Amino acid sequence: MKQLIIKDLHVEIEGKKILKGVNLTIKSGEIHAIMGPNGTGKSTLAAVIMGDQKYTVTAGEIHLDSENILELEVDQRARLGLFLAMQYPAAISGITNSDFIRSAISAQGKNDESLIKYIRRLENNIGELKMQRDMANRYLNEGFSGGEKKRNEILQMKMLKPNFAILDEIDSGLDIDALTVVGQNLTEEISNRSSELGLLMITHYQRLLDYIHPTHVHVMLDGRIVESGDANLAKKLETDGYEKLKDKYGITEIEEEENKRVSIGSCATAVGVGASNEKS
Amino acid sequence: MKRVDYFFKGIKIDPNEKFISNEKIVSVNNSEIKEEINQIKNNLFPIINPVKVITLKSGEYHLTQIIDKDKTFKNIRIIIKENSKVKLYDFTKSTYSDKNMHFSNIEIIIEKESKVYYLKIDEFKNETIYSNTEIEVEENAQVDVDLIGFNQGKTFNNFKINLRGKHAVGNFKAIAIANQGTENLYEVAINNYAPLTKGDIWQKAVATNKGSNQLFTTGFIAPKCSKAENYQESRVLLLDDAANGDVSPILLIEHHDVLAGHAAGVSRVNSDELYYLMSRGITKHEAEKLITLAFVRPLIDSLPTEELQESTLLKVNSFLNN
Ligand SMILES: Nc1ncnc2c1ncn2[C@@H]1O[C@H](COP(=O)(O)OP(=O)(O)OP(=O)(O)O)[C@@H](O)[C@H]1O
Ligand SMILES: [Mg+2]
Repeated sequence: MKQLIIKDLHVEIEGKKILKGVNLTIKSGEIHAIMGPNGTGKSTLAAVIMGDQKYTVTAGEIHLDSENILELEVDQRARLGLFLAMQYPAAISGITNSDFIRSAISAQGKNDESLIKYIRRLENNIGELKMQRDMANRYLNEGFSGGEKKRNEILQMKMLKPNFAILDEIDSGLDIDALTVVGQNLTEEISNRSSELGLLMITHYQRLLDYIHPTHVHVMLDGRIVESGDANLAKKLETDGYEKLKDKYGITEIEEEENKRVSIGSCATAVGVGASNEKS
Repeated sequence: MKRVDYFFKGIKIDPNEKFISNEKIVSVNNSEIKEEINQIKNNLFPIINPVKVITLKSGEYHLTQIIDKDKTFKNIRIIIKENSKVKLYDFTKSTYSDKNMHFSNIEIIIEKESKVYYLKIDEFKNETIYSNTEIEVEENAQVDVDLIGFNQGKTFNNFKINLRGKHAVGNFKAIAIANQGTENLYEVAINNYAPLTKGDIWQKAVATNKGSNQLFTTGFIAPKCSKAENYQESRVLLLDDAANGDVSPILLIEHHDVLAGHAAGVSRVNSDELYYLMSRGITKHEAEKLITLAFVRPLIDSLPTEELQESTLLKVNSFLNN
């Protein structure tokens, strides 16, 4: 059994405080769901666990078992078994999906698979996700619809078999049928690999949790996890919304405005590295 | 031979001819380099005709040549006869590296109604290379050029396509990889000298590890060339801070009823793309390689045979690993 332990995590971006002391432990076999209003830091938490360098960790720790992963690069964390299905995955023209996934598999040291076996497994998974056949040979996320991108993230998860998978709004952009397909695929993945897979799902809706029953549900407000409970907490949120909780924890509009002011002050310093598409 | 006037009139091919010191062309100042190029063109070379004239009809031809100690390489004029379909493979490799300047001068005249595919792969070692290519395209004729550069020294590549007759088409695609020691300077021009002609330049250059790519692209549409089209896209990708690159796109248009456009840019590896690839366990170096391959891929994928596609991919890979 593996553990992902997050202790008192504080994170800033461009001087703006986003995470203000997050504590969370996920063990293999557990399914956690994080819910919370827009802009409270859910994707930030996911990105910091994965190792996105845009964010600055000002305090706190993240451990995968005994390893302090904050000291590791993104690729090293992935090779330890972390996986993030991103809310907005990048598109890269010129790299085929198939080449990309195979590079990832071999980078993770799982390259004992022959090319033929690999292709068969990829095609199987594409079939199970009811994706179009040509998805393997299309360029990575290039021109994919919102829902196709989400399915492509799950395809990668199925191919890479991580120990901890974070799914950031995997349900948004999916039509009703696609949600069923993704739900079924995830359920199967969980039942096949239950003891070796820990899941962290970020979602706004109960729908996804009807397919994948969480063992733990957390509510995030203003950079903190303010309540944790079982699957019933999600159902309660669905009917009550966040207002009551906001009142309870004193999250007021004034504080949000303060945040805004801070971000305006720093936006002029935004660094754009690698604009590869500029045209004149 | 009236045609000869079209050309920049050939280059003297004596490798021992001292016309410019190696040091000068190293200069990183663009305007200085430009000035020197103009000098080379205008003053320093005596006008001589190419030593060899070859006339070709439909078929596939190889111009493969090795540069060694004694030999400078090509100085030829190729005439493609009317109504022919020709594939020209021009692979130039140096097996020997020295400090001399080496010259190449190729003139291709494509007579009307002909279609030519011209693939030029340069693998120059440590020499300083001056490579001049000029292509004349007559009425209803077309040339598709693929130019690939794996050069380790200083290379000045001057490439010009003149669209002379109505409906002449010139498509120019090029990729170049610059690693430590490489200084590529590409000057590419497509000139529309007749109505209804169509020119397109697509150029991608990658630099890593102190390599340098300078791209000057020019599109020129002469007066009275109605419905002429001239497009260009030139981009340089820099893989690290030491790498060097510049793009100067120029459009010179002397008629109103035309279509033209250009896109150009120098960029570093996109950090979102890098993060995404690395988040799946791919190392930074490997991810950069994938992004580079993606960048040059459109040309490689369009090469005429699978063998060529594969060998070119391998060369890009090994060039980046050096
Ligand atoms: N580059 C940045 N500069 C300034 N602020 C940023 C930057 N990136 C994110 N933020 C801010 O950080 C806060 C948290 O963003 P995050 O994406 O983590 O929210 P979220 O909880 O995932 O929201 P959603 O439910 O809408 O996906 C937001 O207020 C956002 O505007
Ligand atoms: Mg989010």
